[in-house]
Order: sequence, then structure tokens, then C-alpha cells
Amino acid sequence: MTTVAGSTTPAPLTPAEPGGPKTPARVGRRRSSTRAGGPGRFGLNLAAVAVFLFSIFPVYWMVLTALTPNSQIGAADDSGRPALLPWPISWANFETAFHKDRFADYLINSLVVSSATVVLSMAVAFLAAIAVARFRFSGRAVYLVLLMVCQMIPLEALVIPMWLVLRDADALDKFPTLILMYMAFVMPFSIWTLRSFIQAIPADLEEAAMIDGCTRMGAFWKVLFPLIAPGLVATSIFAFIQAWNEYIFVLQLMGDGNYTLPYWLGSFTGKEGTDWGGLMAGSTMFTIPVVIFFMLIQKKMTSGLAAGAVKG
Amino acid sequence: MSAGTVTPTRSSRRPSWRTIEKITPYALLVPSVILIFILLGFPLGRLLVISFQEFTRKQLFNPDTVYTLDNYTGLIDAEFGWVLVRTLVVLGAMVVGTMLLGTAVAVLMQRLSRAMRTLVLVGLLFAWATPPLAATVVWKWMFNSRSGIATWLLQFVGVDWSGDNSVLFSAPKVLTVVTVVVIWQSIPFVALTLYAGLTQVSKELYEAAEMDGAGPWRCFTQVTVPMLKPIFLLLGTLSIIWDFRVFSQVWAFNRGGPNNESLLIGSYSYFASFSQFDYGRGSAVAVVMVLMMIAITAYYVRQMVRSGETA
Repeated sequence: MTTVAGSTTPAPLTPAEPGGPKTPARVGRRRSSTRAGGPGRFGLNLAAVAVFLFSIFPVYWMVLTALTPNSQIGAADDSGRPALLPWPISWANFETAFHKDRFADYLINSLVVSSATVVLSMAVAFLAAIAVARFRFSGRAVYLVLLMVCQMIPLEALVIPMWLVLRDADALDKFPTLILMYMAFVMPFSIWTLRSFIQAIPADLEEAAMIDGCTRMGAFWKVLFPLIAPGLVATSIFAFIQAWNEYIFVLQLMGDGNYTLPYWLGSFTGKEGTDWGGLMAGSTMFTIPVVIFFMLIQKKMTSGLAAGAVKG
Repeated sequence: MSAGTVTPTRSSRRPSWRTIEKITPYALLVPSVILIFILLGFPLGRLLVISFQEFTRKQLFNPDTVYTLDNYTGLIDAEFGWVLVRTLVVLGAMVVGTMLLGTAVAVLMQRLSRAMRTLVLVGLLFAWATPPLAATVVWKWMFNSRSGIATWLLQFVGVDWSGDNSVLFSAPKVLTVVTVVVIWQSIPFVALTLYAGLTQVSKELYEAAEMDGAGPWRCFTQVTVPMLKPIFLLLGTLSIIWDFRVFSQVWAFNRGGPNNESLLIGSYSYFASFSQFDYGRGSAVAVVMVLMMIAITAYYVRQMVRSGETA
């Protein structure tokens, strides 16, 4: 606020003097709607459509290819343009994908690993987030920097040292190992986001509860927790997706029985080339749960981050 | 202690309350700190050790105890030099592209009608939600030399990327497409976060600026940018960190080919370890990478933590 004050301080005063407090707001609103009207509005809508098409087209193309019969994939019309609509629709690629490798096993593995990662890391992250959002203590800044540095570690580079550590501990090719490792990269960002969500809720609420006789713990559980629940859900789903997408650790540290879905996606590319139809069907199946989850959380996620950032 | 506390609890609670208040935050942090140290600190320490050793497949089972700087001095060569140059150029393109386009989309969303905004939102969500692995595969398919839709589109405007000019035969083309894929997937997060921030900026500030005769551009530079500075800082820092580390897209697109010329620092570390089996070199690259990232983001992280402390 202070940054802008220099250039705009006198402005709100001038129109407010004759018309009273309500007038300037109404004038302003009318202005902004005329500004966006007419040819300007057309340009904005055109830009919006362009953004929409650019964003969604690759996903559309993925689904389209998945629905095209294998013999038709790559077929072009007279001008050499690939077909833009799936016709005739064929489910054959999805059938291939369902029976490829051990889809059912890997799907279950993916679900188990991702869910366990979320539950465990949320429990730990929630406690840590309360500490950094609600307490002032020495070492707090150091901890925040530690969280940031955690995000800078290239996880691919940790595969070898992890492999050595896990081999010495006889923990290679075991599910709990994978879950623990996913916690390592899911947790720091989760703490960071949860902290923003908690900060966005005024501390006065808990203080009021404590004055009314609640203990500090009671205030957390009865006042803060219900308010933070949506943020917790959003962060959880985001964590779930991160675990769902990971594949380097699975590839290098797990064995045949413990692979997850990304490994299955790799099985469409063989020595004799890539089965594009099957691969696109597989990618579609791999993507759909993620898209649904994202639809559920996106608003919470971004507004939470923004709220935390505006307030600091 | 627990046996004798039944009666004196109430009276002795007051003086110890402060101690409890003091200890609580540390107690809350203990689980996460332990996990971070075991899961990240321990392997990271091992990584550091390996980077000072000769470490190939032989040493996987018979570890050396001799320490050497060879892995680091060995990095002073043309190959790694080019990796660095490529990484910085691509990083710059990704971060600048993401921030500029993301900001543009956020400002656009602010001015759209509700229906149009929902349309943009749905598109962004799809780009954002697509797993990087699937996204890379799809873009690779779109640029397929024989039947890719993007290849056809380029042909249409007079650029030939088919057959021998295929994207897969040229490192600059691979990196261009990888950059586009990363920007495509990064715009939504930046745009939606900024948009969420924009909705929190009081409308009166814009009205006041307009009364002063400020046009859309001045409104943007004088109101939006200063008000959203903390968010810009956060998003910029995260973008640098995420794009510097970019791995999946490079590796899944063409495994760093052709001729390993599209490897960026993250994928190069992996390549040195798992394709050349020189784990020492791969680890040294990773250490250099972390140090570079800390150097690049140090200023921003300090600013961010400082603004977090004062709030």
C-alpha cells in the first residue's frame, strides 16, 4: 500500500468531496465496464479463446489419438492434414492399455503408495506448519530457509546415494521405502503451503477461544482445524499428485512386483517402435484422475498461496 | 512425576506455562526435522562423499576410501561447459516466458466476463494437471516427423520439421520444444496464483489511478506490480528452482539426444551416473547444481524470509 501511495494519494480525496463516499466507487465501476466494452472486449475474448485452445489442445490431441483406430493413426486427408476429429471412434487402444503389462497391479500400487505418502506427510507437515505460522521462536528463519533448500535438491541425483543407503539397510524393493522417500520431497512444499493457509486465518479467533477457557490445544482443534480443513484437503491432493507422477525412484529402486503406473506407461515403447495409440490411451488413463483432483482443489491452492504471499 | 502431580497441577501449571509455550514450536518441528535429515540429509551427505571419490560400478560393491578432487577438476571441460551454457539459456527462456505469459493471462482473466474467465480457467487446469510424463509424450507425438499435428502446422507456415528435419535430429529443436512444454505447464500455476492475488487488490486503488488519468499500462506498473511484489518474488523464485531442476521433460522427450546435446544440468547428472556409470562425476555435477541454485536464489530467498518475519 505504501508503495503506491506516492502517486495516487490525492486521487481518492478529490471526487469524494462533492459526491460523498459512495459515488466514486460507482463512477469507477461504470468506467471500467466501458473501458472493456466494444472492440476492446472482442480483442480480450479472442485472446481468451487463444489461451484456452493453446492450453487444452495437447490434451485434446492425446484423447483424440487414443480414440483413433490404430490403422487410422497418422492418416492424413488430401492436404496432408492429420484428422482433427475422432471418427470412427474406437476403444481398441484403451483395451490394449488395460491388458498391457500388469496394469491392475500397478494401479493398486500407485494408489497405495500415493495415499500412504499423503496421510503420513500431512500429519507431519501440519504440525510443522502450525509451528512456523503461529509461533515466533529463534531458529524459525533457519527452518524456513531449510525448507526452501530442500526444494533445490535434484532428486534424480539422490538415486545413487539412496540406493547405497537402502542396500546397506536391506530396504531396496520394498513399499515402505518408496513411501518414505516420497515423503521426503512431498513434505517441504506441503509445509510451505499449509503455512500460508494457516497464516491467512486470523490468530484472534484462537485467542478468543483461549480467553473463553479453551486450552491452546483445544483452540487448535476446535477453531483452527475446521477452518484449515479445506486447505488441508487441497494440499493433500497436490501431494497425492506429486507422488502419483514420480517415476525415477520407482524405476531405479523398486523391482517387478512394486512398480507403479509410470513404469507401465514406459512399456508402450518397445524395441520395434512406439505404439502411439496405446501410449495415448495409457496417458489418458494416467491423466484423468489427476485432472479430476485438480478441478477439485485449484481454487484453494492458488488463493491460499496468494493469501500467504500477500501477508508474507 | 506423573504420580505426584494430581493435586499440585493447577498451582504449578502457571509458572511452567511459559516453558511449555517456549518448547511447543520445537516439539512440533521435531518429526519433520528428523524426517528431513534422515531422508534428505543422509543421502545428501553420501552424495557429497561420493563426489570426492572415484566411483564407478566397481565401487558400488567395494567402496574406495581414497578421496580426490578429480570429479570436480574433470568438470572443467567443453562438454560440461556447454551443458552449463545450455542450462542457463534454457532456464532464462523458461522463467521469462513463464512469468511474462503467466502475468499476461492473469491480467487478461481480471478483465474478462465470468463465462470467458471460466473458459480460460478450464483450459489452464488441463495444462496444469497433465502429468509431466504424459505431457512430454503427447508433445513428442505432436511433433512426430511423419504424422504430428504440430509438424503439419509448421509445414503450413513454411517450416519443414518432417523427415530428416525432424525435431529428434536437432538439439536446438528438442530444447525449443522442451521449453515450450515446460512453459505450457507452468503458465497455469503462475497465472492462477497471480489472478488470486489480483482479486485481493482493492478496486479503489485502480479507480484512484484511473481518476489520475493513468492508462491500463500505468495502472499495471504503478498499482499491480507493487501490490503483488511478494507474489512475484515467490513465483519467480519457485520458477527458477523448478525450471533449473527440470528433468522429466528432457529425459522423456529424447533422453538428451541427439548425441547428448540436449542434456541440461539435471539430466546431465543423471546421464553421467546411469549412462556412463561414472557416479562420482554425476554426484559432483549434482553438488555444483545445488550450489548454483543457492547462489541464484539467495537474494530472493532472503527477501522472502525477511518479509515473512515482519508480517
